[in-house]
Amino acid sequence: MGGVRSWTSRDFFILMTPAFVFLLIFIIYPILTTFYLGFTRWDGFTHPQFIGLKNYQMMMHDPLFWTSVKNNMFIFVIFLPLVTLLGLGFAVLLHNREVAGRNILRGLVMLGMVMPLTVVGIVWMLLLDPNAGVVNHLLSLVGISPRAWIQDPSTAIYFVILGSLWAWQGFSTTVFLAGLEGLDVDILEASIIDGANPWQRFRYVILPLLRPALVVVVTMSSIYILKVFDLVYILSGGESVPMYLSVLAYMVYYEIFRMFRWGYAAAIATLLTVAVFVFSIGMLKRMISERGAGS
Amino acid sequence: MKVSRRYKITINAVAWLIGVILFIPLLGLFMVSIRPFSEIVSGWWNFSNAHFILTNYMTVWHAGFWKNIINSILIASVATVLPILVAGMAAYAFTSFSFPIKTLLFLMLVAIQVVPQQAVIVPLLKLFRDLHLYNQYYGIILVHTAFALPWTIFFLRNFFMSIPKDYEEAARIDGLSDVGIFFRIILPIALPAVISVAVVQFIFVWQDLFFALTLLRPEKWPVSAGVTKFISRYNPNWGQLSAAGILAIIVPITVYILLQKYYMKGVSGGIKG
Repeated sequence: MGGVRSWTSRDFFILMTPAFVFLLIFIIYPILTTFYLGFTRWDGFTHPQFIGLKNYQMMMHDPLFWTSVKNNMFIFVIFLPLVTLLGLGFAVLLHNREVAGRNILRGLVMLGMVMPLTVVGIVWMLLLDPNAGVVNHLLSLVGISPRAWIQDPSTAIYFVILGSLWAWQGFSTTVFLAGLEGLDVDILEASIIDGANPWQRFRYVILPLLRPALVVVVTMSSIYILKVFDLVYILSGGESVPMYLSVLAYMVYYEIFRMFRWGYAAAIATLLTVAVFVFSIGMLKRMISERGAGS
Repeated sequence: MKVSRRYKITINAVAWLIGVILFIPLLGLFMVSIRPFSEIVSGWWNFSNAHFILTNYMTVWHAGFWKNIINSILIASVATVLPILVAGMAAYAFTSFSFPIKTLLFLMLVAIQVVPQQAVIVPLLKLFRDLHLYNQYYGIILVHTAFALPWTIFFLRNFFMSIPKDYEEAARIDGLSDVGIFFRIILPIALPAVISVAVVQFIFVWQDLFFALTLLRPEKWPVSAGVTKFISRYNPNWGQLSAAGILAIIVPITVYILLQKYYMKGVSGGIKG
């Protein structure tokens, strides 16, 4: 259906205009302006002053920038494979008809995903606390002495990773579950008749069919973790986050509200946006070709 | 296929062990919120000589946290209804009209879906100051609405395309305009899709921290930002902190439990992150 009515009617404009006014004012115009402001020096009040590539040159010599990039990358390479595998594992488990109470389990998997990340942060601060935390208690049972995981600069970043995992594995599980439920039963039965064992069936039949779900999980998880902000922010306790914990999204906030270098903040935001788009290209292409622009 | 007893027991044990592990953090949060400080520091899992109190909740409530809850309810509700109306109309225009640059607009929508909030914040702060939107409920609501549109239009368009054309034709013969058809015919038929979008969007706005921090002053903060007032890096008051945490999640968890099926559909059907 669709595409049959002519656009020259008054009704078409009534239906279409509000959405595009919103997008224009609050997304498209600001994003283009951000790109431009990245080439200016600006404190947010006076007139932006065009300075060419100076902000980007400044970045190259800014230790905070490199710390942020390093933290983003470290969090990324640990988070992405874990969240993908956890989601796939949970989905396979929760899809299994032999498991009793699957709906309750699905609910539990999603709990972390429906609460604010700041609360997820509180949950993990509590878990990792040297005195009141379960984690240290369990570790002490196997003879490892309690540590102040979050206060210790060398381990604080794991707090960000663990919190993100607990919150986001529900997403990958849900997407893989939807993928598993959409599988063609005939193909699975054919593979059983052909004598494939459970592992072969999973590796050579189910996994290739889950490819679309995999693309969505990997892309969305990449974007999610590139934008990591909340869990870093709450470690600040009202002050600035210690420098060794900064990430790019936090740095944008920091440069605006603590340093008042809005042009520099815009340049960093531009970089973050480009990174997000680079990681999304594969999925976006697929969405366009699958759902079709026409009709 | 026959399944052995041992296989069945093992797989259930593994699944439920994982379920328990995922649940313990939240149980801990709750237990800490209802026990006195002296018992928390010796471990909330320690139930010998346990006392249960509500003072933490009272303190947090009287410290003004109820205001944060009201703020959240207000912002999240309006920022859910508004985008559904605006996106629904555009999605309907996308499905039943043909127009020039349709492909271009479609590509633009797809691309905008992944734009991070940081990408707009610098110009937005200036815009908010100039238009007196800063620290206004409707300011942040308008921004959340704009950010919801790309994926919502997408999601609803996909659903609208599955509605048989006959409904529309019949309504048109009865003399309804296109706008009338959208509100009176399409929207009611699409109710399941609308609920999916609503649940995902409501929970998403409830969770938002970045826009709340940057576009509102503390007195108008929703709970996502409000809980940070109780955080202290070195000297945490666990009781109050966890009570605030519990109060902050009651609404979204209730919404989720009541509408779980719709939420799952929304998450796996749209791409919302």
